[in-house]
Amino acid sequence: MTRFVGRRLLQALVTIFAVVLIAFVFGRLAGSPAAQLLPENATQEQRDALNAELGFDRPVIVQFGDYLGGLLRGDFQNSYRETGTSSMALVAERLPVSLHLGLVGLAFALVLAFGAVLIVQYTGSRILRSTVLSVGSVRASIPDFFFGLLLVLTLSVHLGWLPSLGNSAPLSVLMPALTIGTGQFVVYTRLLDNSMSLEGASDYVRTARARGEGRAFIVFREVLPNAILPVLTLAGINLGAFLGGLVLIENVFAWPGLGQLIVGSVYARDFPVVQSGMIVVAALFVAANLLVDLVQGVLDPRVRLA
Amino acid sequence: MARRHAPVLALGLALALTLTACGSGSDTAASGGEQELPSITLGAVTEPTAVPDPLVDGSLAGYSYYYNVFDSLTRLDASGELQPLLATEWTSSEDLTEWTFTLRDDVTFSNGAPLTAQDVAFSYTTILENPASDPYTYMRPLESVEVVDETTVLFRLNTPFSPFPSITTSVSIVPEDVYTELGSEGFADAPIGSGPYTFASRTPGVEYVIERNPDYWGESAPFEQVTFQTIADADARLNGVLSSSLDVALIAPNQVDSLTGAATLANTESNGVTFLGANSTSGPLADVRVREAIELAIDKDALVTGVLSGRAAVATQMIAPPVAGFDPSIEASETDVDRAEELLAEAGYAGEPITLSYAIGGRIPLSEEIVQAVQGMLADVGVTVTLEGMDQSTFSSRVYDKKDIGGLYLNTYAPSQMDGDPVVEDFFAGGYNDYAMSPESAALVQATREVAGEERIAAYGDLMTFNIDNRQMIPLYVPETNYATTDGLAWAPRADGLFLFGALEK
Repeated sequence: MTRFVGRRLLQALVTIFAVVLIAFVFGRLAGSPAAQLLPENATQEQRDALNAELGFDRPVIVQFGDYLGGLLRGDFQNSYRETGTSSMALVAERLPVSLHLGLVGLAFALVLAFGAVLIVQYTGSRILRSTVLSVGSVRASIPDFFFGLLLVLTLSVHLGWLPSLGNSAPLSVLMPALTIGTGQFVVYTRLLDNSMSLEGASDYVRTARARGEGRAFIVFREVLPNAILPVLTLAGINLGAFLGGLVLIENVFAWPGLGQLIVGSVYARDFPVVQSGMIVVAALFVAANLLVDLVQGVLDPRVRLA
Repeated sequence: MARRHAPVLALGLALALTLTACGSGSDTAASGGEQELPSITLGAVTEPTAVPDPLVDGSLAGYSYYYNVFDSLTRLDASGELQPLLATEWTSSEDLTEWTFTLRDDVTFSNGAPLTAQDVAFSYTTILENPASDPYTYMRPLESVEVVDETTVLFRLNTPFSPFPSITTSVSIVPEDVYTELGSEGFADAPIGSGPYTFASRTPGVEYVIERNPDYWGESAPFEQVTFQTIADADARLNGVLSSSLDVALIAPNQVDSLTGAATLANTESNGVTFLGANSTSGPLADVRVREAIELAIDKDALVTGVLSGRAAVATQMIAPPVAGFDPSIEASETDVDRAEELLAEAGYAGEPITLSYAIGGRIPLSEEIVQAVQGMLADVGVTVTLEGMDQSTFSSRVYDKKDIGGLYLNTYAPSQMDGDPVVEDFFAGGYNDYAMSPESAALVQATREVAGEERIAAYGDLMTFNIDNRQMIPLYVPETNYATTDGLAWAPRADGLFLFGALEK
């Protein structure tokens, strides 16, 4: 177990290092930030002075070395725009906002998918199954940002029921989360349905039927626990990856999350914030995968430490 | 046992999360209902690019806060005219190198301390001593600031500079003791000003909130609270106003027709000119005949009516009408396709490709449509244009840092202080948009600074005529600035594009 966790931690560090390297190098390729940070009629001397102050007059490899050295000491560098504020502090401020949206979105997806599949499995209705899958597929084929806009136009602009943007009102999370949830709905539905159908054909189910167990007992107590593993795996991985996908949705709903921060920082050439954001996203992704592996082991002894 | 409960647990957790999200409260929109004075929310496009200390940051987004929380010596009214604010009057020496400003004696900061000439001198001197600050870029002519007495300040310049009062519109006056004690970043977190509003709170990237200053020395502000909410996406801003989540927001020209129901249009002529810059140092563009042909081939009327839905006016010169220095006697160059073809033939232009660089989704609304239309118009006379789009920061960096645009580029310049001086400095006296670097135009720019009034307009006229003769820059149009607002909002747009929520000017 210790070796397993140790190996995974090492993998995590390598992944994060790679992400940092890529973010750093691509950022430096995009040019120096003074032109974005100073007004347009600033003199060349002012620009040169600011670029030098931020270290952009030195070779990239030296800058990277300095940056890595700082990381080891827990110094993520200050934001170029919010001078005096650590870039990681800015990221930490936005992370919960994005996680909130991501978790509620995931909850929507899971609740809808589990609800639909359990009804389908319990009733065994083929019409219901194909209806659910068709509706889910149609929704999944509409790009999220477009579906989000449709929601805004109907629920906010036309009906005036929900706030169209921001996260200041408690109900603000509904529309963006619904966009995420319905978008992922069909994936979970298909996965869980397949998995449950497969399990339904296994010997222990036949045995349970032979024992005279009721349909509800078989579906909920026998099949579901065994079929849930692939869904949880996917949910875990998605949870790690969702931050990347949130960028578009955060933009449509002006949701002040990590995605908006990173994109805004890219445009403003605020490299430390971009790098810190990437570190956090990569760490979350790695952590989610690790968690999925560990939870799998707990839920299913067959995959334990395989 | 644990295995049995896992799915139930997962479902329960999911449900709980959903319920938490749905459960609390039912208030949706931001605006207050029964209060005597309404609170409003504004959809801001960006936030300040630096820590919002008015003596350091000079971003457009920043000025919208500072103008509400701080006062300056003078202020531009909505139409761009210079008006007294903290200063009641000002005079200059004969040679325009010494300027004396007389201050009001009844102004207090929101902490109760009186605003004195010493605070004014401190604010200017702090900027002068910090070359890394944004406002420093406007201070080039300023040599020193002296306190003459409690209500008199003397500015000494290093050169004759007739537009000096326009600079005083943008410098916020801060209390010396508070600023010295807190330092720049500390002051940005807890600013004290003398303006119609006071600072309430700030969340970087999310919002900035100001509240009415009940003790304001001037006419009291019409809103209890104003929230500047940063919303980068134009559709999100429009939908925000349409759904009453926002009270006012900047929108694009092609969104104007989508305004219905609860939202109304507020618009004004802007202070900027959208133009084609030209790197005339090499390639086909080095020939003035090619540059002239390009201007003659572009149907600016068609750009305005066809692409911009009429939400702009054809530019006659490189200065917009509301900006000081605009010469009304100059007329727009007429489209003349035949003459353009003649000129190209004379110049021996044989279809060598010319790049046209522009920012996608950046500062210029509909930039892609504009450059495509220009490309088409130029193709009609045989000019081959290759489009080169990039994001705004890359574009800005190439124009304003590396100065390495080759060919044509679509750009705009809108001077916040509503004076032509920084514009002509940039275009014609060796600035970032000046590829020609002509000593002749630089001398004409200097000449504008040594005269005032009608003579100054005439000097600008000479400069603009020089540009028409040399076609260094091709003015296209002056856009309208369009806002979606909720009905009956006590607010009017300003030519300088800043948001001011003080009492409306009569």
